[in-house]
Amino acid sequence: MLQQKVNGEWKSIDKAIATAEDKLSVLTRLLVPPGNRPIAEDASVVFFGSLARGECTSKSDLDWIVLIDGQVDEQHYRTFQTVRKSLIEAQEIRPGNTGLFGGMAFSHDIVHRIGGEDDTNRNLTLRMLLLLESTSVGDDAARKRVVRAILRRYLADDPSWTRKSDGKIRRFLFNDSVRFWRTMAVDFADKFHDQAGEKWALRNTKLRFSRKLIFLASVLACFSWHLHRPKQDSGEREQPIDLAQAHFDDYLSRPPLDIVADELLLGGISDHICNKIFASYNEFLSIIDDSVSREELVELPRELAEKSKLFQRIRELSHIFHQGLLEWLFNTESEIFKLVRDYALL
Amino acid sequence: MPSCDRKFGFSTGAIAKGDFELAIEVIKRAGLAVVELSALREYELPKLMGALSNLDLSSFEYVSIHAPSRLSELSERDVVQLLGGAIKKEIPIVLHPDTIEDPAEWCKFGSFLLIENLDKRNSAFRTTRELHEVFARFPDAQFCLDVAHARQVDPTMGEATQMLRAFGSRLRQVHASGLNSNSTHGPLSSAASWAFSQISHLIPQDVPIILESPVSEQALGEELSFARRAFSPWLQRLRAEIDDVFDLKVAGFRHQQITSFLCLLHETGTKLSDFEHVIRQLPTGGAYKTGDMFLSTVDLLQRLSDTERADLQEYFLDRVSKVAKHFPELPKQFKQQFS
Repeated sequence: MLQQKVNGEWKSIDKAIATAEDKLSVLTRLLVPPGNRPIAEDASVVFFGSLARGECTSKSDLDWIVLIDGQVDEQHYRTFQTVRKSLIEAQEIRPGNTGLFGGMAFSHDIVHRIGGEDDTNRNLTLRMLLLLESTSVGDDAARKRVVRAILRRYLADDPSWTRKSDGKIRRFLFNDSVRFWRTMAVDFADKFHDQAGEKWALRNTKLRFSRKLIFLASVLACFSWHLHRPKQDSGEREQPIDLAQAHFDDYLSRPPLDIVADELLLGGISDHICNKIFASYNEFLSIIDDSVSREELVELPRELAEKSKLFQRIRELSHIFHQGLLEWLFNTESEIFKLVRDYALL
Repeated sequence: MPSCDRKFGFSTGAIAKGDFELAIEVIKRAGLAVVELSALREYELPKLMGALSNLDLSSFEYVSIHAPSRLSELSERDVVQLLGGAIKKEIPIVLHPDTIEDPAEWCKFGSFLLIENLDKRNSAFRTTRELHEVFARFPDAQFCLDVAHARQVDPTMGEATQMLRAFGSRLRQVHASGLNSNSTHGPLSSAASWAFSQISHLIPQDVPIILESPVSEQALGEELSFARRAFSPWLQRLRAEIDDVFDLKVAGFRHQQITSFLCLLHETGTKLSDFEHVIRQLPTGGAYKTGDMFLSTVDLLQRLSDTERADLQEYFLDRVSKVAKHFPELPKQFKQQFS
């Protein structure tokens, strides 16, 4: 709708959406047993990254886990191995692909360990990605349950929570969203150090666009409780916390690009700003989708970045994207600006 | 009795909750010879027992009734009286033992009383040890093993194995379904299928298996096929054994693996056309855990029905023809085996 309103021509976004849908169909055929039966009780095969954001390119990585939300069962490991083997045989992933993704993850840590020493980098990342960019193939019940449990924890354990549905920004969720964004930025520097600059340019590009996009979506979700909070029924029979949980669950069930587009439409933001944000993002996807350009970004060392026309173009685009966001979020006449001023800065 | 002749049926409650007449029709249309009439909710019992004499159950080889799991309106005596009509027709009654308050009421059912193991929501009757007590009180009672409950209580299937060892002689029927940790029934999952296949050799072939998976009429056939594979996994295992020799996924070792096996056949003078002898000589591999029953290819082959045996032979010949095509030098090198 936004594309029509502003007469934009964002073919790479359209293509990325279609590619993501195709990819999900392929993965469903590959992984879901006939008759759409569950792979295992209490488990979902969850995908993150561009596939979950609905903006897949031809060379996108496949980030996945088997998310387990139930009692211990040795069959879960067998399930994980079956999924991994199927993905390797279909050449969707490489055999040695390990690390944050490509394994099992358990709901208890993700839900119960928010903050403190036990909330590891991996735990924080999985938790926020489940909220902001996750999807699954086959039985989605475990993923949905975990997402709701995470939201419940952020809402119920927020010290600023009041019984009234007053639309105050939920600081617990908001602060963790900001922490996640800063963690991604710090991790970028850490990986640069640890891996001697390998894939530096590609990571930098993602930080400028897709990582920033999911941070933006998380901030908009927090603000939405003030901007679009649902009305409580007159008898106030419905608990505000239930209302809030349902609101955030529903809000975050959309891909980040849809969240941003809907907010721009609802806020009546000028075509000029919308185009800055979306046209630059469109070109970013076009570059990432091009195998030659992507390869250049994979190989480009930090010291040659200034001489790379491709990387300079990406910098330029990211500044346009950033400028668009600033013009939207820092328009002093707008309601959203008050929220940015009151919550996002200090 | 060959494994493919296991008798499967459905609980009427899984097909059409609260409408046993409709469910019976659906189960009949599927050509199944086994049915469990569900009165799991107590309000279903008077209607079911009232209609029992008029129900045409002649096409079924095995019929049982599931007694209510919780009583609030009816007294225990009322329920026993109502179920008495079924006992006269020699229909066994499946009972959750936590329903029993006065054992004397149920003793009169003798061997028509089937005690079912319960899920983890209950504080008793979940394990072998907990069931010993109830069988001591009802020495003639038989056993309905709910494999989904047993798996929920112990996903390693160790508890199910113990139950079958302790009460195997009493086993009259099996309940199966997908069951998550919140005790919600669903279709059989791949993981459940694998777990059930681990104990399938302990379940006699003539014990009926009642599916409690909530499915539509359209999905009934698919659920049935899936359950058959879970409780008769022998054909699948033998196919895997054949593939481990003739279709090894590690391309670099495939030729070597086939050649080694053909050398073995050469030494024993076995031709590839001698299907049963070849299968008997297949190495039995694959990971198996301590405590698993180790089944050789001979054991597995004996468990196949004639249809499954023919199916396996076709599968084997297909693999052999692919090998001959992919490695044309092998038929020349092992002329006798390929003749």
